[in-house]
Amino acid sequence: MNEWSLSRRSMVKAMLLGSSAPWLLNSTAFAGSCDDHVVRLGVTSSPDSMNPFATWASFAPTAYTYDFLVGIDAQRHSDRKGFAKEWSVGEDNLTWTFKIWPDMKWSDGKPASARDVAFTYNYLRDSIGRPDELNVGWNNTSGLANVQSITAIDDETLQMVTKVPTRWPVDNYIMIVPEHIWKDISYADARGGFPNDPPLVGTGPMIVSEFRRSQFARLTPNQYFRTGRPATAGMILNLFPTVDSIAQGLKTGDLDYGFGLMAAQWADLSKNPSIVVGKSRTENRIFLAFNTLSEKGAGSTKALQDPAFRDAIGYAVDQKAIVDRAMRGHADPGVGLVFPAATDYYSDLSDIARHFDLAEASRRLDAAGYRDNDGDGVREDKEGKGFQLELITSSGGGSNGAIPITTLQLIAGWLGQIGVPVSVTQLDDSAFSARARAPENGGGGWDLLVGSNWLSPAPSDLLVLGSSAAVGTSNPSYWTNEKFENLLAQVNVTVDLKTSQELLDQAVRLIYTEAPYIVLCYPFMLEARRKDCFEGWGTNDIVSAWSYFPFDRLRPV
Amino acid sequence: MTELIAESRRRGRRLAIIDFLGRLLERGGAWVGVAALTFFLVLAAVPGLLVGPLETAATATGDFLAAPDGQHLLGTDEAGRDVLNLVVHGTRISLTIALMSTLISLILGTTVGITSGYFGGRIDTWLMRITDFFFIVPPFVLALVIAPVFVEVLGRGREILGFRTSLFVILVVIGLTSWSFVARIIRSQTLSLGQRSFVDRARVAGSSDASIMVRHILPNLVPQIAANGALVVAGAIYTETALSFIGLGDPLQPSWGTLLSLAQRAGAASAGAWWYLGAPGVCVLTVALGFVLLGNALDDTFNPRRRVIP
Amino acid sequence: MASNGKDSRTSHGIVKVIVRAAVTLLMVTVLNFTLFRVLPGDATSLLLGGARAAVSNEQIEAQRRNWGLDKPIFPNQLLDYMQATARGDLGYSFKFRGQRVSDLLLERLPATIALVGVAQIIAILCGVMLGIYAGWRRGGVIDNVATSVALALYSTPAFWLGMVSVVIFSTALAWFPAYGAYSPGVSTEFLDRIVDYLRHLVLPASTVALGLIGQYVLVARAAMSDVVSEDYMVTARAKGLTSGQMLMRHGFRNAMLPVVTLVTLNLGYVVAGAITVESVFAWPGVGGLTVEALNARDYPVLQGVFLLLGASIVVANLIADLAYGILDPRVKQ
Repeated sequence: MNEWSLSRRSMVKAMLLGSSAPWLLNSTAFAGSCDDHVVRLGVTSSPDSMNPFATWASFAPTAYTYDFLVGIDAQRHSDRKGFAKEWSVGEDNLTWTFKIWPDMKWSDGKPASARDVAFTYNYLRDSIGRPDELNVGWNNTSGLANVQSITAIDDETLQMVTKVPTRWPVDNYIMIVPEHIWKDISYADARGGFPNDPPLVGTGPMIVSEFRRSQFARLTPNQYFRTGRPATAGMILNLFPTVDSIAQGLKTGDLDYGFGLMAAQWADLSKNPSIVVGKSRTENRIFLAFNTLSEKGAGSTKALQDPAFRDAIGYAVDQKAIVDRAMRGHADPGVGLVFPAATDYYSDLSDIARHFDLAEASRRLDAAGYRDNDGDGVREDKEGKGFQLELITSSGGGSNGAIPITTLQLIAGWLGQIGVPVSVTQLDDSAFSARARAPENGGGGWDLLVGSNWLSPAPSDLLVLGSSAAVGTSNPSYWTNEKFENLLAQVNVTVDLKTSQELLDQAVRLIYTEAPYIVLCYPFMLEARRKDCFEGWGTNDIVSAWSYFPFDRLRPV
Repeated sequence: MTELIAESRRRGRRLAIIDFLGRLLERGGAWVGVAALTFFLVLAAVPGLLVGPLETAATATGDFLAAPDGQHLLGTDEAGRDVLNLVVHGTRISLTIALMSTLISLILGTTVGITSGYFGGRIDTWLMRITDFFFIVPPFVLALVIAPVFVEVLGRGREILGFRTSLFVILVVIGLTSWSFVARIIRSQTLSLGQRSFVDRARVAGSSDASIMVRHILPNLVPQIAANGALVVAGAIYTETALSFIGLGDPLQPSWGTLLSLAQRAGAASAGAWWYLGAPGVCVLTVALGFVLLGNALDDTFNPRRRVIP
Repeated sequence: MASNGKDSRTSHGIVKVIVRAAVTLLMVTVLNFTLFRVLPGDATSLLLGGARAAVSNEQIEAQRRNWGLDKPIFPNQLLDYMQATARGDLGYSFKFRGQRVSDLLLERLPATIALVGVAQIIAILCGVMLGIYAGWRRGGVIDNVATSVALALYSTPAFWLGMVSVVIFSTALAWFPAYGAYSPGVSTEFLDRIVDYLRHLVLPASTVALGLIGQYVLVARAAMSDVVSEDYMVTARAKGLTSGQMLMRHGFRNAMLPVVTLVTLNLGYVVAGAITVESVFAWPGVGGLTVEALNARDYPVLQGVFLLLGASIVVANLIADLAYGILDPRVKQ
């Protein structure tokens, strides 16, 4: 029985498997985007809630569902407007008037007007000072303290009066939400409890209709969209844990677009004939931050609070090597807080910039009083304790894109060579942001941090890394400085470009010398899209980082 | 009289060892195992001699994710480092963790096993309950859950006994979770040994319990400990690789598992960089297989009838 | 392997085995409890998420009450924790924004069961049959090859095989997708979704199966060759029974005993073993959840997963013990 029946059994098995294989491979389950006209995106961010007041992590997909009043893209591109058709500011530089597009409707058919805009801003503003103030998510109260009033004069006109001259009314990127949905939501719920379950109600072109955490979000076209129902049949935002899957999906045609690619995949995809790759400057900056706290939450050594120490460490960081070896050339080397994409304000600080020189770094450490007294290769701080610094970073993709681990290895290597040993701890996004919080919220206790910050090119956002109001959120080094605060306050109320440039330059130089941050690089955005199936993608930026462009105008090929 | 007895006992032991080695090396599996292990032990002992110092991101010279060629026998990784260099240096980390954690396991397991088997009764029952528990829960899961707790307790960033904290934690955690296998076997051996006459004689002669356990029972257990120790090492290698792979390792002192994790994160699988994935994995496979073969051969040699894995 | 199996031959033994399982389950719960409360500093904040705004204040307060975190650890907190667990209240996840841990586990469990189930079937079909054949015909070419391959598989980390299979079958050949359980935007037709799911299941399930096949081949082979040399087999051959009949009537059932035991035990372990494989393939099961929770230091989820795994292992052991009692031929004398 044995050999023969066994081999007969295995033959049958093989036949069964063989016959089913082609059926498996060719099943109609894999209708591609060209067939059903659904745009398929791949991202590595992990949106957790569809409530724009509760989280920072859900720009995709909520930005496709909601409009901004004006925002960044509307100011850069005349064909990418938001809620406001046109806007102007009065002679006093305090009264802003916005004209809303006529006949706008929410995706549930109800009319959308200036009243919804006024509601959104007032909803936020009225929460200022309360214990459940709305300052935890994308829609937050920052900047609203400077606004005197927001009123809807009529359905199509909105007036905003500020207390001091500021560009905030057009620079802000608050998502406008419908009054009839949100007016009964308490602040506590808006902060976290209210999930804003799909289908969302917004004025954007693609409305989130289904959301499965860690898997995907499905969006359907908004039939009431301002410029008409989008020509595509919808969108699917696929959430992946790694960028690898995105690269794969692009190659096989399962995905139409992906961003946040790593250099290796980008290079690989650029050789593919059906794929177009794109590379653009961004408002992202990757930095090394020192924990400058002196009491609760302070790091393991007082040296971190000493600007001379930090400045010396700055000579041990080779931004060019980071660009070459970690970012594979897809970044600009870091200098000050301002990134090259902010053309009005960028300066390479060549007169005061540090250069990479380990010997110089050692000399400066010696001069600052951090010598290696016992000859064990490790320097001691002024309290006599040997250095052992902990560097924390986020291991995940995060909403700003992954920071290559090579960066950390380089930094640890250089610092180790000058006698300051560093150990690296990689944490997932939520654990990382918990440790980066303000000490009264449980954060702190680390020494060095490598993180990223991606906000707008507005001066207040450029300088936010040193702002005392942003300690624990956008200012992870907890650094505060009176002179800097003054400069920041002045910049915020300056509308004249030249004055604003001078003030900002002073502030940037001040923080560069004090060195609570060593800016490592300004990474490019590496993205790729397939050539088949859809047209209407952007040229310089295939997909905008600041609005729902081009999903309002993509067409099947 | 006792001098003569001791002398003849020692000679007898020497002959037994020689005879044992002869029988051991008869088995093909033993040869393969020993050869593989010797090779890797040499790599672990003097990595610097063979490939130079550990390449860091700063000293890397190669192209990114380049396929193997004359200059880089195993290709390069995403930072341009030579994969051969990384793998050879990783040998020391992987093997050290595996061997040291096995040592902890053996000490813990033997102690529990001997005590349990020797004293019997209530002590035996309770110790065996605990052992059963640790036996049932897979070491990997237990280690996974304990590790972050340990990292919190031990603090971060310090070097303990020459190991960075994360590696030390892995070492200790594997040791604390893999001992039950040994304990059970030692216990059953102790039970059978405990009945033997020489133990009774020693007791009559007035030796204390501890001295009996250490001087009389323990030496007879050495063969068992060795055979099972090899299998425990194989398990420890797997657990360390798996723990490092899911992120508990140290990227600055990469073990093979950490290299696999780095490869995964750099997108080696979708880039087709088989050398980056393959080399650490093949090493893990070979070393584990070597220990398994050695352990089986040892077991066969001691208990030719009781084949665990024929 | 459980040596308690011999107890299940009598009804008194069965009760003993069940009680032992219950005690072990209790120990798992107590260990789970202790592990997460020996943390230094504010264990309470660690368990409740500290300052993360992800969990609402109401949830934090509810959890503080349910777990009695203000009371002394023994016995009050322990009892509170046991009660809460018995009710199914396992706390709230930090990483997943206040979702109940029990909901998370239930959400992810089916994917792991599918993965492990299919893998077991493959492994049993291939591994056990191959092992039995090799054990029946000792010393042949198939036997040597099978044993060598099985030993190699036994020593290899399964997740590495997974990564290699991605390189071969996904990147190079493009036969199967490499990640996840769903293709981007698969059509909503039920059959299409099933096929898509199966297509995604192939690589991960094969990987887990490969990890098991090594063991199964070796154990089945050992069991079979033991049986072959037993006296009653020689007697049966002397009686004139043909090879086939002998295999079925005597050898097979006796050889099955250790194999069945191993398979049942593995049901408990494989969930743990799937952790790394799910991580490689981004398979949305409990294993992937564990790795995410680990990296996020999401202790309530880790606590819940450990409880789940411990319980499944205890249950699997119990079933193995009972099955041993049923199958042990010496009972049927």
